[in-house]
Amino acid sequence: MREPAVRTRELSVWYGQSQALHSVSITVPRGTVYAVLGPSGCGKSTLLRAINKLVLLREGARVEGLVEVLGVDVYRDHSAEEALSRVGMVFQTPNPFPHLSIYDNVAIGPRLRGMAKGRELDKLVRWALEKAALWDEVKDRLKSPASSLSGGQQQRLCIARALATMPELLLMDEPTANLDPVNAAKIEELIKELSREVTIILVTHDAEQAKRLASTGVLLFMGRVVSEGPISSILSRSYSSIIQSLVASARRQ
Amino acid sequence: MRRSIDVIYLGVATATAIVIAIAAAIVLALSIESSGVLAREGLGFVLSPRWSPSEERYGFYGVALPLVGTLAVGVQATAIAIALSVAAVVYLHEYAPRRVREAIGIAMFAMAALPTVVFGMWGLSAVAPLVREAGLGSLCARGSPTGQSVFTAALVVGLMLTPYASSVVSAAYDAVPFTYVEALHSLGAMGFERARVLLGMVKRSIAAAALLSFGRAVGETTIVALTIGSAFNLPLCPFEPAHTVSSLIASQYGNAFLYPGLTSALSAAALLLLAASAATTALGARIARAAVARGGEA
Amino acid sequence: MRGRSVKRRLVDYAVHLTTAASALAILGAASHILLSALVEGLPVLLRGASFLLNPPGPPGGEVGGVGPSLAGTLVTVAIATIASAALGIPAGVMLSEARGSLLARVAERAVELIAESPSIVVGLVVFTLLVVPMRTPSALAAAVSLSVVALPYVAAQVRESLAAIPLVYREAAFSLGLQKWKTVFLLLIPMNARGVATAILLGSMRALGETAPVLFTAGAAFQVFYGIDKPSSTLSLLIFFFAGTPYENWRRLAWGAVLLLVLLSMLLASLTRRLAGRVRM
Ligand SMILES: Nc1ncnc2c1ncn2[C@@H]1O[C@H](COP(=O)(O)OP(=O)(O)OP(=O)(O)O)[C@@H](O)[C@H]1O
Ligand SMILES: [Mg+2]
Repeated sequence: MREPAVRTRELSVWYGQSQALHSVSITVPRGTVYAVLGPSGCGKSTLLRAINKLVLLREGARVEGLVEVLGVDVYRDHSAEEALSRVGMVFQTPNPFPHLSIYDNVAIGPRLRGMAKGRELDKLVRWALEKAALWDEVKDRLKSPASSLSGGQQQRLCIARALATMPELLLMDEPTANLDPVNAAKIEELIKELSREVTIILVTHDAEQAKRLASTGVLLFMGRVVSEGPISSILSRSYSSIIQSLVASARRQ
Repeated sequence: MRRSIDVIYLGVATATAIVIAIAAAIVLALSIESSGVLAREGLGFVLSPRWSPSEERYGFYGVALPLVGTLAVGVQATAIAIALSVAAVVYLHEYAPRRVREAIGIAMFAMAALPTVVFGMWGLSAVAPLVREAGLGSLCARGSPTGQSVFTAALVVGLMLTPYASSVVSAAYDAVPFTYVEALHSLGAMGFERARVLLGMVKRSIAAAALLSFGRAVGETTIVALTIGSAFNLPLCPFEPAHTVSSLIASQYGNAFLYPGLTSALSAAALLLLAASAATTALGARIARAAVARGGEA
Repeated sequence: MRGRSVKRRLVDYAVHLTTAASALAILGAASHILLSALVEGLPVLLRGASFLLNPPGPPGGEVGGVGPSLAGTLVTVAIATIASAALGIPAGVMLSEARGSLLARVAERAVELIAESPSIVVGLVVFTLLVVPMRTPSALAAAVSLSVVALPYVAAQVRESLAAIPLVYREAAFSLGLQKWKTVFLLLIPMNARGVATAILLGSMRALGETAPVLFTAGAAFQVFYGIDKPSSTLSLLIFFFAGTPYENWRRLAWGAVLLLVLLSMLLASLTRRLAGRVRM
């Protein structure tokens, strides 16, 4: 059996003096949609950014514990860069580069990596835009600036931007949080489609969305794992049992 | 009910009116004073290369050569300031360790606080000899024997402008929302690749910084007068001495009472300077404001 | 090839090196200026009272001092600080508190125009309007010239610092039922004393450093301080004139004046920074 897409052990993250994650251990199997659930401020985005090391960009951030991505210890191994180049990310607020064209936004990743040129790049861009269900809407204006798209289209463009690098793992930080229900439904549809080919870690605070899309996941509360496993089981737990397990995990440390 | 005149408002309004009067006085005094020479010389004032206050009764006043000098110094100084600033901003944001960042911040602060005459003195005693020793003058037909040249002036002015230009560029670079920086990292972009995209996002602010720098370079007098070598010369080669409009005005400080047309000619030259500096500065400030209003997403 | 190619790494390294070199050049230039001022100027400055009080020595003779020019600097900068504050503070208040009114809109343009005027231009205007009628350059004319140059900095700083007062405080002040302009001067300005003090300091820093505005207006009286309505000089003017002379003693004197000017400017700049947390450049 192949190693899991992501495995963390005793992962702790600090921002300066304040600790955002406490000994988080999760295992994300390959080929699934894995949901990261929990209330606002519980550390979902921090967990996601600890996986692809973006957390280190924050002033004063510190990481302890093990993070294995696609079998590589990304905080210690020399091949971390290579492993992380197979990880894509989609952000909570759509953030296509506003001054670049639609085409250039999708092409930027392959170009940086020297993956394709000319015709081949055109094909790759088209493939990514089709995967992101955006091709039909933008095929006639690939050269117009990305800022001319609607919010929902921009988010799909960001998904295409990530897909164009052919990631094996896609990190999505509340990709529908800033969209209207119609556009949110489109993105959800997309996630279902994509999950056949890439492993997706989906941060959401919407339990219904998690049920619709994910098979397994983790529930965080105040930086700690409350429970991990099949979605239905982690969501069925009552509030009092959450408190109990939190108290227990705090005692263990 | 309130019958008494608002005394405080009256005071404020009076002071404001005086400020307006000062601005008006600048424009009016220059216009009236310069009308004499402009009536005599017409377009020849800007087109003629002949500047000779002592000739005939009134003298000849053409500032074509200093105008070219102003343009040359302005363009070169701006290029130097922008190149240094952009490079420094990229280095400080994408590569530099924290310590270095702080050291350069202090250097910039100190440079911004230095009076221009200090730069001028330094240019004269350190940069000009360097230009001379390096033999750069021999690259030009009328190369400067003292090391005072258009390039010398532009280099010192460019350095003087660097803290200013880089504060504009750096503020814009900082104002790019963090999420774009994260997106670039998530795509695996390296330092220069991030810089290229982010600089593309702040290009309006860079343009604004260039215009604002040019506006200041055009008006800069002290440094230029000390380092350009003050000569009526068409500065097609950067290592030749020349005049700018401002250094020309400065060089005439003692003569203004001597020749009948000189004050008028100097005022006309000053009017040109004011127009050039005001136009570029106003345009630059407008672009800068627009760039800020767009939230760094230029 | 998924990772970072050798070519990318090389380019990144090259960009790293060149940008670091540029930053180093800036650092080097700043240090060289300050070190030159220190090395050349300190021996002169250490002559103490004779440097601060005496007039310059004769050409080619002893070094002497900068007494008359220092006096001229103190007088002109003091007048310019007061005058630019007296006009710039109310103007800044008008710009912030009567925003949109006709007077404020015109004043806005006026302040911008003065700020955009190269300082040599201001000097020339004061020359035609003041020096010619008075038939002599003077400390007063120099002070007027410096006031005008400093004025827009004061006004802009006051406007910005007033505009930065949070709305809640502003509302609280105006809810007390005082007349509008009384509220501004009795509550908003004291609330923002730091901003106003910063503005005044910025004005004096400007006046201290400028040379071009006094070139046509101060005269060139380096030997004696004759009084406010007579020809005079300033430190910056002394540097400007003595920098290019062939006389070793005058150049050394100029370096002493440079160091003195650098120290005074740095003092004002750090005061400003301490007050404002930053300096407008
Ligand atoms: N740069 C930072 N500096 C200091 N503290 C931070 C920083 N970023 C996040 N935090 C803190 O870390 C904790 C976890 O934040 P995180 O953004 O991971 O939460 P989240 O679960 O994603 O919340 P949301 O649902 O609101 O996005 C919060 O308490 C937050 O205040
Ligand atoms: Mg979050």
